[in-house]
Amino acid sequence: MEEMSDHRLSIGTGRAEGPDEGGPAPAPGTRPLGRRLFLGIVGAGAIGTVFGQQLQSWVGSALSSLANPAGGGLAALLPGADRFRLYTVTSGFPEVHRAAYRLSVGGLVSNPVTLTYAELLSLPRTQLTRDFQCVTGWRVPGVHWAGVLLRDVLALARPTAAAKAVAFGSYDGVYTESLTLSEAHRSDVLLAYEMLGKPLSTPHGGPVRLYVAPMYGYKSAKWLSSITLVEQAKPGFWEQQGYAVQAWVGRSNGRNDAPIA
Amino acid sequence: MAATTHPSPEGAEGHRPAAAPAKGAEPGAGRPALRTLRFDLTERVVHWTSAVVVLSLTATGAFLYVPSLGTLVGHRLAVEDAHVWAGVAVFAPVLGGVLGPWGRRLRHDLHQVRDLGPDELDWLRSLGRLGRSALGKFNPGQKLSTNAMAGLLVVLFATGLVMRWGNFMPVGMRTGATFVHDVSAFALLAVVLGHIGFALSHPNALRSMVTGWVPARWVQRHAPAWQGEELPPRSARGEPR
Repeated sequence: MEEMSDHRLSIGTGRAEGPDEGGPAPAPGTRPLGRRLFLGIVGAGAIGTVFGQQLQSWVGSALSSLANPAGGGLAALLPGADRFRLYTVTSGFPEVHRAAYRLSVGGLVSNPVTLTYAELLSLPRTQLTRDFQCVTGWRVPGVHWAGVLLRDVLALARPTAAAKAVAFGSYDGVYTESLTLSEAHRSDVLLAYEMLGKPLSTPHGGPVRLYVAPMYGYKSAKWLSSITLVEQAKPGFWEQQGYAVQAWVGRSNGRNDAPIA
Repeated sequence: MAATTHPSPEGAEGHRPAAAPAKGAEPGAGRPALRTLRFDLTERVVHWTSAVVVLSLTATGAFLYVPSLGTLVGHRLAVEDAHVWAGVAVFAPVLGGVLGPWGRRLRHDLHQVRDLGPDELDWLRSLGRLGRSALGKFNPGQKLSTNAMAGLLVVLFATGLVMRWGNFMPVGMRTGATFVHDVSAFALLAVVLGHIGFALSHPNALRSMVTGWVPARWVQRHAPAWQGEELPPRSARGEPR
C-alpha cells in the first residue's frame, strides 16, 4: 500500500514521464497522441484567431449563397456566416403594430409633431445600400435600406436656434441614442422602415428604426419612439457602457474597420 | 496485460476486489459479486461541477448566438455577464481537483489520457473490434475526447477573454477570436453530445460517474489492462451499498 502510494505520487508529479526516469516504460510504439490532439487544437485556435478575419470573410462569402443575412435559415447559424446578430437590452422585442405606431418629434422645436407610420411612408423615400458594421466585429455586407431622411422629419418640426443635438428614444423604454444636429442632417442618416426589400421586422427594429450608415450599429436605435431636439446630448445606452459617442466606423472605439461610405 | 501502456509492477494487487453485501442476488451466485472504485469523490465532484458550468455556458451561449432564443429572454447585458463569468470559472473545478492533496487519482487520470499505444490505435481503427486487451481505465476514444474537450475549452476561454477584454487588440484579432469562439463552441457541443451519447448507452460507465463503482465484470470486459494501475479504494472495506 505504501509502495503503491509512492508510485502513484511519482506519476502524479510527472517525474515518471520518461522511460529513463525510473517510471514505467511505455510500450514500444506508444505515442502522446492525446497530448498532440490537445496542443493541435490550441494551436489551431491561436492561428485561427490571428488569421480569423480572413477566414471569416472566406467562410462568409462561401456561406452567402446559403445564408439569409436577415437571420433566417439554418446556414445563418453557422459560424462565420455574414448575418445580423440580434441584440435587445430588455426582455424580448417590443411589439409595435404599424397601425398603432407613433413617432413623436419634440423638444426644442417650434412645431412639435407626432407622425404615424402612414405619414412617414408618405414622405420622400430614400434608399441606401451599405455594409452594416457592429462594434463587436461582425459586418453584414451590402444591406439595402429604405426610409425617410432624418433631416426631412426634422424640417417638419422646425428646430429652434437653441437646438444643437438630437436625442432618440426607443419603444423598449430603455435604449437611448443621440446625434449632433450636423450629423443628423447627413444624407446617409435614415428613419428606416424597410430592410433588404421587406418591411422592417420587429427583431430588426421595426416598424421604424434609426439607421446611421457611417456609424457602428449601436448608433442605429431600434423601435424608434421619439426624437427630441436638445441643447446637449446625453451618452446613449451603450455609450454609458464605454462605447464612443461619436461612433464613426473605423475611426472610433479603437477600431480600424474599413469605413462605410 | 502485455499491451498495457503503463505496465505496473504491482500487478493485480492494485485491483483489490471489494466484497458486495451478501444479500445481493447476483447471477454469479456462490461467488461474491465484485466491484471496483473507478472514480473517487474528487473525480466525480470535478466532473459534475464542470458539467454544470459547461451546461450553463452552452445555455447562455445559445441565448447569445441563436436570434430566436435571444428574443425569448432578451436582457443581453445580463446574459452576457452570466456567460462571461461562467466562462472565467470553467477551469476552477479541475484546477481545484488537481492542485489539492485529494487529487492524486485525478492527476493520474490526466497522465493516463496523454498516450496511445499501438494496440489502442488498432482498437480505434477497428472501431472497438480489435485490441480490447489493451484497454485501460480510459479507452482511446475517451482519451482523445478528453484532450479534445480540454483543448477546445482552452481555445474558448482564450478567445472569450479577447472578445470581452481585448479592446486594446487589433480589430482583426477580435473578429478572428469571435469566429474561432463560434467554431470551437460547435466542435465542443459535438464532442459533449458524443460523450453524453456514449454515457447513456453504457449504463455501468455512467453509474460509475455517479456512485464511483464499476462491477468487476465491467473491468474485465472494458478495461482489462487497467488492472494493477489503480490504488485500492480507501473505502474498500465496508463501502456503501
